[in-house]
Amino acid sequence: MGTPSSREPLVVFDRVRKVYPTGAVGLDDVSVAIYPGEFVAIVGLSGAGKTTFLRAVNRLIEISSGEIFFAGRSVTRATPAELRRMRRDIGMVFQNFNLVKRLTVLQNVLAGRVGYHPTWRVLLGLFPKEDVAIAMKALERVQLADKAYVRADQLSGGQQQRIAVARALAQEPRLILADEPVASLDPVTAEVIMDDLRRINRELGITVLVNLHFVDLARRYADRILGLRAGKVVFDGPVSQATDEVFEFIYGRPLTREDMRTGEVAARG
Amino acid sequence: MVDPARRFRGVFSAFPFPPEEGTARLRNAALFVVLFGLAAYAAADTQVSVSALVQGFPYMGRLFVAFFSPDFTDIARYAPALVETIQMAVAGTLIGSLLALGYAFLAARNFVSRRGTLWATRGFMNLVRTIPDLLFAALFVAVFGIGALSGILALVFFSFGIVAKLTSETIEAADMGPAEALYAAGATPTVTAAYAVLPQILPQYLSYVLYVFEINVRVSTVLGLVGAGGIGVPLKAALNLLQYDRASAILLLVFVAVLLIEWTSQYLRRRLTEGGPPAVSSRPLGVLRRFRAPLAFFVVAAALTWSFLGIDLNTKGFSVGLRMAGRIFSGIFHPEWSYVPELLVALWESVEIAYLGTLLAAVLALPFGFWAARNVVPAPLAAGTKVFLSAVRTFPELMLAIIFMVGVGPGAYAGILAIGVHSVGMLAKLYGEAVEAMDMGPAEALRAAGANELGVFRWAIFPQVLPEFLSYAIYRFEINMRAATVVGVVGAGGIGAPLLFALQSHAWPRVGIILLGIVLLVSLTDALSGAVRRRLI
Repeated sequence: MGTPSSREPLVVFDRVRKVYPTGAVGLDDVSVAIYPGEFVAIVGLSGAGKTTFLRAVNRLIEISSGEIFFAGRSVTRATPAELRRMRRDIGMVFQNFNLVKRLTVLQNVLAGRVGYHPTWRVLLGLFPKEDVAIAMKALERVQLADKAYVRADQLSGGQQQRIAVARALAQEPRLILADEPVASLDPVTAEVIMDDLRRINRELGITVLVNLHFVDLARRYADRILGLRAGKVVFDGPVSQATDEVFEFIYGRPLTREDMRTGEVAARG
Repeated sequence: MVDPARRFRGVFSAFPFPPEEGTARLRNAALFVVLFGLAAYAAADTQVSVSALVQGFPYMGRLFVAFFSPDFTDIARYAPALVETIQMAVAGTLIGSLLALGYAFLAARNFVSRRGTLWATRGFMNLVRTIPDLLFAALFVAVFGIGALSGILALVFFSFGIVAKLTSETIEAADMGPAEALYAAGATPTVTAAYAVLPQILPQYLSYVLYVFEINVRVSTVLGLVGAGGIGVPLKAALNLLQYDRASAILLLVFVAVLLIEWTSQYLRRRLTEGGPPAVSSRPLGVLRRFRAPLAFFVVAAALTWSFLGIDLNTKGFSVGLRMAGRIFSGIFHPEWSYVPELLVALWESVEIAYLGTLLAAVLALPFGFWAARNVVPAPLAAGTKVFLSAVRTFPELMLAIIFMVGVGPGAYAGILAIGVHSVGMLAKLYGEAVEAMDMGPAEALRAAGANELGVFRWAIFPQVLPEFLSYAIYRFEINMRAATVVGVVGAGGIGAPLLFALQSHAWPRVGIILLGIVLLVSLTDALSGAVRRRLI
């Protein structure tokens, strides 16, 4: 993937702070650069600011101070139209899938294409043939092309999350944000989703930023670990450096069974 | 894998549907064309015209100006009429609900096993429910003469129909374990009903009674328009004399009374159904709890006594009335068959009124429904819209019909506008609740994918709420079908006027055939709408 410093960063956080109206600090003076093609896992306890970090990237959350850049352009100062244009290039996968359950799988995936078309076309649902082809290709990539005409609520949780991944793919994005994508899934299904994300990262070169609670999944899938504690980045380095001691430092306590998707604490060393 | 692009050649190439769904889409398109064709035909038939409405605005405007400068000088004079209205509502609700409680057991499948008995008890219950409240009132006015007695009887029947139906459904859903234990100990069905099932259903039953009471307070304010007593009598007088400023004062009085009663009732209902925290267990209240049953009995008896105080029951009228009732029955059993062609024309006009009124409401309710939802608009706007909608709901169809008749003249068009505007109050409230219950996740996902607000609406919100919206609109059509048989009473089209004339001229065989027509039409509508709604969700 080349040395990070030799390339233009895709996402830049420049001294970003987020304070909620309640006074809670979501992000505390965060400065980070994410490079094209990276697979970054953001880890930390719940409430450490992982979700705030991810949602600040596509401005689903407004930050209090600092500035965020995507592909060299300011997200923070973008006009609504510019922001929509940037969001089109950023796919997002949610913990609760966020599919419209009464629509078919294909319609849900096509919804990822709305950012590309004028409003009247979107309102009438007149997606061009190429869009249907893109959507079908995205479905093939998550091995669910045969479910294209099934209503989304007919699928299992794991299948629904793969549809959500396909929706993000249909955007033809440069970056995919995944907010606890496997938190509501069983261990086996969780690996299928993580495998999908890794394949997308390796084969299509799409940068992946994923929030993970589980230490073992973060270690197995990510190239780079970003550790957050109380809104501060307390660790940023390649996965090889993220030892148990590092995780215990990020979490501020010894690791437990609950920190592992498989429920086993890896042997130290 | 088939090349996906190849599957989408042809007419439907642009749609995200497989070719085999083409027929389904054609069918939907055909249904759409039929429904709108019908609307266009009905609109032409009933002389719906925007220009007539626009030209009528100055007249209605004058009326509105008068409405916004209410004349309170005589307001104290209306107090007795308002009290009578509430008395009518209390008496009608209590008597109807008490009758319904016992009857509900006779209509519950888990208490009556004989098919024939069930068929008869449920049949009567459903028959009562097909006849609109105001038709009952008009009928009783014809029988017993003008006055509160007719109003009370109308409310008794109306309350009975609703409470019996809801309570029998609750009884059927009750846990039969305790009942089995009592049967095993040798108890009779009556004892079993009282000791094993009644305690289970009591909170719901009381909540239904309060619910019907709320409706009855609203209804009893318009019963006077057909001569059945209450505040509607001076209201009608004021409207007939074109004293809109006085009518407005009366309406405001009614509005305040209805709102106060509704808030109290809704508070009590919430306490009943949520169980709520047990009443503070201080000692005096503890004593109250021990004597709850006799206390309840005393309260009901006192309320009934009060509600009959000062109401002229006119027993002479009663004996005459019974003779009249006999004639009505013989008329109903010897209907005037030769009237059928005219009847069908008038019934069809009622169908058109209900259909166009519902369509108008379904469209108008769309923006109001979204403005009433906390999760899509700022909280103050949502709260304001909700208050506005409940104000709209307090204007009965008949009142609105009278107002619109000032603008567009008597006839079906006024009825359509009245039903349309009145229905927005309920429909938009239900729409708003459906939107508030919606999953906001997909909206966030669409926003994150770069969709603008319209895109979010089309692909995340609309598909989620559409089936509910349709279902509510169709349900509202059932209610409006009943209303459309009534608006004619004030001259706003449909079968109401011919029925009123037949009643006033004591043409009982004609009354018989018209009632038969209404019952059949309403039952047919209910059955059809129920079938469609079951397929929707």
